[in-house]
Amino acid sequence: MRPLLLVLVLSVGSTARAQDSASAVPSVLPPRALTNELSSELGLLAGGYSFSGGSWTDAYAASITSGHYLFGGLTVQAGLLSLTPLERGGPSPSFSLGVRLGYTGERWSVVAGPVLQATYPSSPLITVLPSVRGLYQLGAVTLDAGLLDKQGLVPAHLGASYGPVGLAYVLPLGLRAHARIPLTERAGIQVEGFAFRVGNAQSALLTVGLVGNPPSSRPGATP
Amino acid sequence: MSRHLLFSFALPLLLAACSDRPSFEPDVVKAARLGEGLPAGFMLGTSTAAHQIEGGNENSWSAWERGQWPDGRPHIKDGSVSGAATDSWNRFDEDVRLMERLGSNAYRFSVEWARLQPTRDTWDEEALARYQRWARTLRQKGITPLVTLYHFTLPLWVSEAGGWEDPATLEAFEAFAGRVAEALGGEVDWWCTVNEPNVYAVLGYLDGEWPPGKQDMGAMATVLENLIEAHARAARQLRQKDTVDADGDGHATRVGLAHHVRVFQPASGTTADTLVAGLTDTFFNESVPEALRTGRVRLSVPGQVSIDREVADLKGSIDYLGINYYTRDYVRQYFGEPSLSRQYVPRGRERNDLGWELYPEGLYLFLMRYAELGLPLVVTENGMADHGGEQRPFYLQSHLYAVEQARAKGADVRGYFHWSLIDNFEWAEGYEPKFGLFSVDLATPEKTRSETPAVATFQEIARNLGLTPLP
Repeated sequence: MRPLLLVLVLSVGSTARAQDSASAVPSVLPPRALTNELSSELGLLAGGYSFSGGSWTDAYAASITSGHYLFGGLTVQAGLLSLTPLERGGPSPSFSLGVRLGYTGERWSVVAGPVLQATYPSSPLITVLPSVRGLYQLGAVTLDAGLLDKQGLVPAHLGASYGPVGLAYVLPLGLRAHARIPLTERAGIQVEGFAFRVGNAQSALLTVGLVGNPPSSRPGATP
Repeated sequence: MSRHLLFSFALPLLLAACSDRPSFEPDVVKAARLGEGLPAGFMLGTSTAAHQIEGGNENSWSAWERGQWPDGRPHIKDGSVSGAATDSWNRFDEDVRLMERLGSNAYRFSVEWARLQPTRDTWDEEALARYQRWARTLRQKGITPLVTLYHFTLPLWVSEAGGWEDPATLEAFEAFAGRVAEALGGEVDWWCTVNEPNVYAVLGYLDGEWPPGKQDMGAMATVLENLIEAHARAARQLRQKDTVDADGDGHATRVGLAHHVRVFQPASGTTADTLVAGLTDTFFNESVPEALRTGRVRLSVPGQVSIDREVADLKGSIDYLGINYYTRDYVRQYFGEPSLSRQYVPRGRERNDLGWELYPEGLYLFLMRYAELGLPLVVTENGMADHGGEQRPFYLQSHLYAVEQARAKGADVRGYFHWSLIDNFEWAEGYEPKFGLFSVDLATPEKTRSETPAVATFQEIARNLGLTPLP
């Protein structure tokens, strides 16, 4: 359902852009390190911890809808993650809402904000964690670092992306990667995943979804 | 390349998620002829602790029971004190008859240090002789005694000098262990040095709910470290001083400790919940067995505690691992607690009168987990607070089913001790929780014992094991 909505949004965006072009208001968009993006992914997450001779692992269906939008350089990023346990009698379903604000320049971007994690039934119902992400463009390569990225799922990462492919080291031991397969000029299929270990805890995620880049609602707007 | 790396790393974890974690079907459990899957010689018994049933003890706990919190609430939730308890000090023979009615062939009880050594320089020989007689009586009745040396209580002269934070307590406890080994060794082969060191350290020194009521991470770690060393010292004494093979099986001593374990279920799939559940499991479930396995005590809390030292005679100090299992806790990341987590049971789960979830599969999982140690395992405690007694029969069945399932998968489980034979003083909870297979009317001078419905369940299992409950 969410991928369908995304396609509709992108279609509307494209139509709007076509109409805007027809109105022929000349404008120049300053280059930014980020472009507007909206994505919706579905996948599987396995999380748990290990001990001598075994492990405790739970599996979840993961659904992630996220995006960022630029108002000039002002950047708003938001994402909603839901994790639904695949087995009864184990963990509870959870929702994580991350909202980050920041600024995107020509070659860099920094956003930060809270991640609210709600689980029901639980005590406490909601917890709050900080989250931050920054990137810097170095030619065709974009360097990327973050803390509690992906709605709090990735503890800390440091990576780089080149074109449609990105790879990151997840601290203290892990890997994160994504690849985008273009479908149209503005939309594509995104495959993303990570696997990491922190202490004796471990988590792995694999998602597939749609990603698109809707145009700005205010073309030519300057910071 | 990146995708290849990712998949090779992630897929094993994703596949691991499709684990064979068991789920016991109630109909299957009820239909099982429990006991038939257990070997001859399997210890099927009950468990108690001196302070909880004897009555008349004056020790670190009885002093705590009379105290209050700063807001005026009594230390014990229901306002009670252990007092006369179930008067088992004077009713031991009556309790043995209850064991015979059950058809049990083993009994775990503790000796009260404060009673035996009321001051540093005095020993109560009469009390020691009574414990000796108890062990002999049990053996004569075909009930194997398993004796615990330390079950949460200290003599006042020890607690007032600093308790388990004081290194001198190690010397005193080692001497005590040697003395008891000499006195009871002729009748006792199975020993439990220390009961639940992790529980005592956490509740007494981190949560502050038990004496001495501290909330100090460093003190908690020191106490846990010292209790593990106390075990090693006691084991050394037991092996030196108890040289009599009382049951003729070729072993004069079978030394272990009772390790309290809990399943720590991450509340959700978030990384924060998973991480704190893992940390909690490492500290609570792993640190003691790991120390026993390696001979080193390793305790680490970033920024607060860093202990890593070898303890003399710790490696190889146990002949069996005792497992005290009751429940599963859900763990949620929460910065408002010293442990950075909060533990709870979600609504809708079956639970006992204390709110603990009934999760028999957890016992199976722990037995399989600790079977990796390559040592015999004994379930030294397992039971439920059940005021009416109606839930206990299935609790008993489902947990013995877990034992049988673990044995069928190769775990070397040698015994099961139900907590408890009779209702008793449940520490900070007072007398409100009812754990006994036999209830006790505390209001009567006779402390009348009465059967609960689980007695019949226990008897049936005993019969299936080839034992004979007496009328």
